[in-house]
Amino acid sequence: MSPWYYLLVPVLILLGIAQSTLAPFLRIAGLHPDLILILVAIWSVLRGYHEGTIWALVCGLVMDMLSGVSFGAHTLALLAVSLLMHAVRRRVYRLSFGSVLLLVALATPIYYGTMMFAAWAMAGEAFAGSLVSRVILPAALLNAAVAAVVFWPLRWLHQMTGEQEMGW
Amino acid sequence: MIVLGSLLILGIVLDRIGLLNPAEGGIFRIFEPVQSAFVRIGQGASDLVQTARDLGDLRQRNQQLVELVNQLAVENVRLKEVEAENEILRRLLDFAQSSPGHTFKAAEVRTRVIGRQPDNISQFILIAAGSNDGIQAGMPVVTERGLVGRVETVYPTLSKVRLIIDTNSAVSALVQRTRATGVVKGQPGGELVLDYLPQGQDVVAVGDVVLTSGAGGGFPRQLVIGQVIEIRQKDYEMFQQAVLRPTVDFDRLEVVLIITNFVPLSLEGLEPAPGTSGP
Repeated sequence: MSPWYYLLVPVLILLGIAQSTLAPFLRIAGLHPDLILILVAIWSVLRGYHEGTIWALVCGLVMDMLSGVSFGAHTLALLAVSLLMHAVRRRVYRLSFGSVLLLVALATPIYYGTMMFAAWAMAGEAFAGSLVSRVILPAALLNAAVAAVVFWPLRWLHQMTGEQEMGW
Repeated sequence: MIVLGSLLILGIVLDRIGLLNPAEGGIFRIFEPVQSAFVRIGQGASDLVQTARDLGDLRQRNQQLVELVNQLAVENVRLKEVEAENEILRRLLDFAQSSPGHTFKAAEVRTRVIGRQPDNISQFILIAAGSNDGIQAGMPVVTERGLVGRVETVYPTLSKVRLIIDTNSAVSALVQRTRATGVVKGQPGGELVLDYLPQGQDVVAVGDVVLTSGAGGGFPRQLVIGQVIEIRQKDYEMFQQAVLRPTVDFDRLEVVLIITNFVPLSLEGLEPAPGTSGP
């Protein structure tokens, strides 16, 4: 197994921590970008389901530990995003840069919807319907904008580390 | 060889009897400019070497001074941080002393390290105090500016605090001026709304201060929550709402206080009294 895979887990843990420490400093109009969601979505598109799932699992568990929402909600939400990206990747041979941004925007309501459903199912937490218009849709636009920046270093990393699929 | 030897002996003899001095003066006059030039060159060279030596010394000294400046700058930053922390703690101490009804436990909020909620739909912070410090779930969290939230989950050294701006937070509150009661709820995007206020003209006004009412037993009474900045009133609705500006700046929380002697009431586990229908 390539050393790249061994390095991956601590890096992903650091990314999960960064989401809860650095992202709040990137607030725009009360919202901060969902960096992990963006990373998992783009990486799943670039590398496929297996690696996307591992990114989703590791980062999701770290975020669940640091979050006040029911444990597992972030992990499930990120897994749902990874699955969505996998489904799209299977049907579309080649995705353009613009369509990746569109997918990230589309993944945002999937992410929050899954998280809210999981929090409701596991702990009975209810969320206001106005979250959709006041948080989720603006966050989708913000995430797509940030994805435009994040995409290129990820693509470079993808090219540097090859097309290998990560096994379990 | 004999000639040179003879000249040398002659010169020594003439020098001893003092007859060589005029000749020496003439020779010196001839050589003086050359000597002076040589001296200047020598001094210049010496100065150059000395300058090179000084340059090395100056570089070393400059390096030492730069290091000293850096150390002082770091020390200055540290002292400013200590001063700022001291100011925060002093204000918290004043607040604790002016509220003798509660005991407080200071804890640093770990927002700058690992502590903010990583998503946009809920509002939590992590604080650096847990069950080892006597913290229990349900304890109210405040600053000298007002109510922050309530301890939700407790770990040995950390606790998660649900902020009052979270959409699942509800705090029984009253308008200080009119004593009208309602419930303060967090809204998406961090807004704070006082809901379930009775209809009426003089129930609430912009600028009114809103405090905890203590109703329901979830929070102690008289903790400041915020100030009314907007009123949402429609005649056909049963209640009116007031939008609040929280007195606490949730983006800049550094140190909070936990009210450790307040035990929140819980209806769970209560059994109805005999002959009643129960809660």
